[in-house]
Amino acid sequence: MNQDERASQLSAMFDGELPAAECELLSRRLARDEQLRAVWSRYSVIGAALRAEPVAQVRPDFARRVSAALAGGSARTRVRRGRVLRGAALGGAVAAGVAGMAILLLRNGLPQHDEALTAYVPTVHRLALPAAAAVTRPATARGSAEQVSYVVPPAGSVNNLAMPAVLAEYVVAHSEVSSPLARRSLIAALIASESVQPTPALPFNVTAPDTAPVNGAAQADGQR
Amino acid sequence: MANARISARATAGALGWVSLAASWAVLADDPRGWLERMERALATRNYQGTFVHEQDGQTETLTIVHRVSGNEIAERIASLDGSGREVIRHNGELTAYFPDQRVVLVESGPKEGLLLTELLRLDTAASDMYRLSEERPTRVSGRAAHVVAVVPLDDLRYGYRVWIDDASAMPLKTQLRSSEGRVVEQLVFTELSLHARIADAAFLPAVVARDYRWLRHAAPTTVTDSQMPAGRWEAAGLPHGFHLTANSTQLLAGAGKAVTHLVFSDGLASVSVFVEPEPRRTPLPPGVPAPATMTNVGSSSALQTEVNGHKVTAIGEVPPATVRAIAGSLREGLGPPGRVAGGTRR
Repeated sequence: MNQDERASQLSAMFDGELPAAECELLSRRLARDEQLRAVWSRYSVIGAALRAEPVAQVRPDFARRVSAALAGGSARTRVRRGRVLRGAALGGAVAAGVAGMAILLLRNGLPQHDEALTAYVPTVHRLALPAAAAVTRPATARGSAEQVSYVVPPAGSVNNLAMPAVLAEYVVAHSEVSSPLARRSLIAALIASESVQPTPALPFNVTAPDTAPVNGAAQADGQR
Repeated sequence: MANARISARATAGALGWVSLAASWAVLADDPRGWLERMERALATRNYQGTFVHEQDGQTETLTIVHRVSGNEIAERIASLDGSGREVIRHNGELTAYFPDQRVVLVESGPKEGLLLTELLRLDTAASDMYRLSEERPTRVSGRAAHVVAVVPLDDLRYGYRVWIDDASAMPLKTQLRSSEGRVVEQLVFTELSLHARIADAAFLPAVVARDYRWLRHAAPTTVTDSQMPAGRWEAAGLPHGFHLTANSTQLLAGAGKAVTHLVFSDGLASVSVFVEPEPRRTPLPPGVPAPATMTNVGSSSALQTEVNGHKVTAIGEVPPATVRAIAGSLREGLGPPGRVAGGTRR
């Protein structure tokens, strides 16, 4: 997904028009994507949005400003600091990303909260976030200042999960005997590649269609 | 990489660069010397950073924090995009979190005798397989860098091109390349900082996984006879340059049974072969090769097939044909060699 698409998705979420499933994914990304979190922070909208408070209407140019921010534009809104702080203290999957924002901003050289932003607190469309699945790590884990939240998939979506892990365990074991460069590459691939799913729906003795042997002699069990 | 920022922080001074530089003085200022400096940096530095992993047109941004304390390495690599997966090595365990799968894999380790500490064991024998060269120095993200190429001399293995930071010897950019020079995979740091100390808290997972499915072996220190896979495994006709470097029996997370783990290496690339008993439900007709499933894990290739009633999984950072050839070279004890579909014997 490119930046424009993500900007569009973000604004749709602000507008309450994003499907629940996509809200979940975007929330997950927000919890981990510093750039996206910075955008949220700039406009100080996270808190109000997640609180699901009754709100005023979202300003008509909001989506445009979010897009500009994602594109590195300078659109900013002046705000009262109090609102920023209040927003940062909120719970919920996305808000947690804001809790550690000061540190992240300093590290990235992005505007500090002093400079800020807070402006207007939009309001609220109640987001279709799967609240029951939102998990916040205990504050003791890394300290409340860096508390991280994460939205996990709903508990019912676990069915075909074991098989990907079956190949993953070999990848992990092999990484232990690889050279450091290869090990990093393997771990990165394991993390990045959601295709570490050999034949999740098939038992071992069945060959996936795209895995024809070189000599063409072998066939899947059921094809012989 | 327009926003790339590399900062060797002041904390790096606490690492004793002066003494380190003195020790480097004994290293030649040639490609091998720079690779050794990089190896030493990777083995001794505490660092954290952000890097971009690119492969097959897919890009993923990951964060890494790495700490060396005595003989213990602690490391956390996590996705900043998408799946939220992360892998953490800490306190003698390697834990892989798959939030998208609600699964956690735990490997106890390191495996004595298997965990390699050398980056590039390019000895004399390896010179038949790879050629080292240094290209014109350049800059990566504003940092002066030496460019070292490890070029494979045949198509059985991949080569590397590494951009090594002149000041810290850390690899700023790494490319895995085919023998034709095609970039198979690339890792580029966009942020990198060195630290004197890194707190334990940096190695905690970001995900709460209490209700995930945890797959770990019972961590027995020895494998009992009843858990031992039947047969002794050996390889006949390995691809040029590869030889057996390790042979052990171990339990994998979630496997519940012991597997034989064979490691083949050419001095740089390695291929693991896991063998475990798993008789097929329907015997193959005589002369019919076993089916094989090839999966790409990044630039690595993984082949799953069967040999003489055993499930064989071969995986390594080499071209698919090499993995297939190594799997095809397996044979059990003194019996007939197992036939692997597409297996190449040399």
